[in-house]
Amino acid sequence: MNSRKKWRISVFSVCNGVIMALCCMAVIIPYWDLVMRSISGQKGAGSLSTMFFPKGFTLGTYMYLFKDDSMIRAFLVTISRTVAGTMLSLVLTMLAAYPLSKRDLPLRNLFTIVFLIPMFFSGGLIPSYLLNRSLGLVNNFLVYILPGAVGVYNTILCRNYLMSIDKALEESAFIDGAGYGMLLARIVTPLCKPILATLALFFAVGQWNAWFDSMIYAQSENLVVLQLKLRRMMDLTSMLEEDIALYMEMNNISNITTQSMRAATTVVTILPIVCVYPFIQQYFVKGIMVGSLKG
Amino acid sequence: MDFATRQKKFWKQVKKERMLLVFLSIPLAFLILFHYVPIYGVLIAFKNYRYIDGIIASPWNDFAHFKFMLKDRLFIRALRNTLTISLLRIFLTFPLPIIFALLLNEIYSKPIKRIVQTITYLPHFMSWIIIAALVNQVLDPKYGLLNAIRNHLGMESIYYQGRKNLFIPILLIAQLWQSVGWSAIIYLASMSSVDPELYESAELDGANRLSKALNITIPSITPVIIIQFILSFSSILNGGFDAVFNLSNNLVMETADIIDTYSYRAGLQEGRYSYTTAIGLFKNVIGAGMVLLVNAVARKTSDYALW
Repeated sequence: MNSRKKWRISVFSVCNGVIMALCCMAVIIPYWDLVMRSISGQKGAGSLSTMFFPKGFTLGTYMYLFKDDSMIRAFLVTISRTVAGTMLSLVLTMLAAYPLSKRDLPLRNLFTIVFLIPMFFSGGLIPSYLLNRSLGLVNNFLVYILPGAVGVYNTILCRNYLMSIDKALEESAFIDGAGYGMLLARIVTPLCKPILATLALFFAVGQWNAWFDSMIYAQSENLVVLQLKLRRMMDLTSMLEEDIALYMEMNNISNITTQSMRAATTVVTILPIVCVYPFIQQYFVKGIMVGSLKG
Repeated sequence: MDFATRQKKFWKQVKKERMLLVFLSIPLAFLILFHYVPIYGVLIAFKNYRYIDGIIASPWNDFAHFKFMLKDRLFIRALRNTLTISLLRIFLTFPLPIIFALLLNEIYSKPIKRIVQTITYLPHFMSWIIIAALVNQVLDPKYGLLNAIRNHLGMESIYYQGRKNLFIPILLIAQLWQSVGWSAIIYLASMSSVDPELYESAELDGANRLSKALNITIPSITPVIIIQFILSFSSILNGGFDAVFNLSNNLVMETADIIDTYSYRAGLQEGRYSYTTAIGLFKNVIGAGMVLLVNAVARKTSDYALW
């Protein structure tokens, strides 16, 4: 009886292990295939026989990708918006969350409601577009940063965190005569490192992945972000083919294909996220817990 | 306390806490400008908006946009597709992260659990442009993985993304692929807060894994499941703009065009600002109404609700 039970448990464990392994493979295989394609120089790349190894290994596609400034510029624009957007959002979130966490704040309930309403109701696409247009944000780098700078949900998350931390240190500094500015800069912000790290990562990933604003507001090629560049490449096959053919003729090579080109662009777009991802993953999980437990 | 003293006390408080108000005023200005001014801009849904007139001076039009909406065949089509997608998502896809979390919870080895989590969360951090690129790559008629397998087995290639009836399945699978690991987090979190003594005493009574899962784990995460279920109705008119916009093409518009993609085309590409705003308002009101409705039902039928 006892041994039979054990045997049944291990059957379940094996099945469960297989299911988990399949889930992982379902995630990994498309990425692996992507990388293999980006370094394959032959036309048939991507068919079954070449799935696990490159066919006609070359890094030429990556060289072609960075042959002109446009790719590098898109990269720089994306990095700029990620850095600037994250910083601004962090500062504004803290400036809102700190007063909202104080019981002494006059009209605190009213302000809290004002911050909550946009969570359930928003103006929508067109009113926002008309507003940004009238503010002169069309074809302006600031459109990537300003409109989304204050996130309602993140502010509430941060406020809840602030309300949960120990007040003793802050109170003793307050009695010693420190003003709110001093308290916020010297005492509260260092105590908030965990939530600030989580929020910074939310903001940064959001900024890196954003493309819709670029599609609507960036009229000049100088402002196009990396993601949008990739999207356009998916659309414009014939133009891309001509450009690749010309480049190969000029450089006397013949091992770049539309397939490898698209794959290489995708790799370049996701590489930064994949590189930092293993280190930051735990913060995301913590952040979502803070939100779910107190939300 | 009479009104005058209360007022006096209030202004004293304002003076004392003025620094807090100064801090708050900066993000508040952003909030009002970028969140509340567009809400005011919703007024154009009830007007014939002309750019030169501005919001105030544009003439009222007696709900003409809303009346037109009900006769607009493209809008009806978009509404139908949106509802199909989100209902399938609510009733078909919704349980899968719960099952995934239950299975993952049964893996006792911490490192393996971590590895599985790390891998399955990854797609959550990718934009839909990237995911669409991966989907294109897997489904490509000439070079795609699926068709390579088909060819290997001696079958002809299929142009999956050109078929109308395949769009919604492809979309749902891609959305599931992207979100299953991440959506499981919240269930895993509430599983980890179950009192271990419950399991220990169940083991003493001879309970096996299945009965422990059915009698302890699932009941203890039920509140979270119900809340997630209620919340999923708030997006009933969201088919997922990013996903649909990047995965669809002209061949599958009949089944792929959702309210958000239609609004984008009608509003930003054709410049029908007022009409599109009316559509947006309709969507917003239905979304909020659905949450209220489902919440009321949940409160009546179970002990759990959002409020």
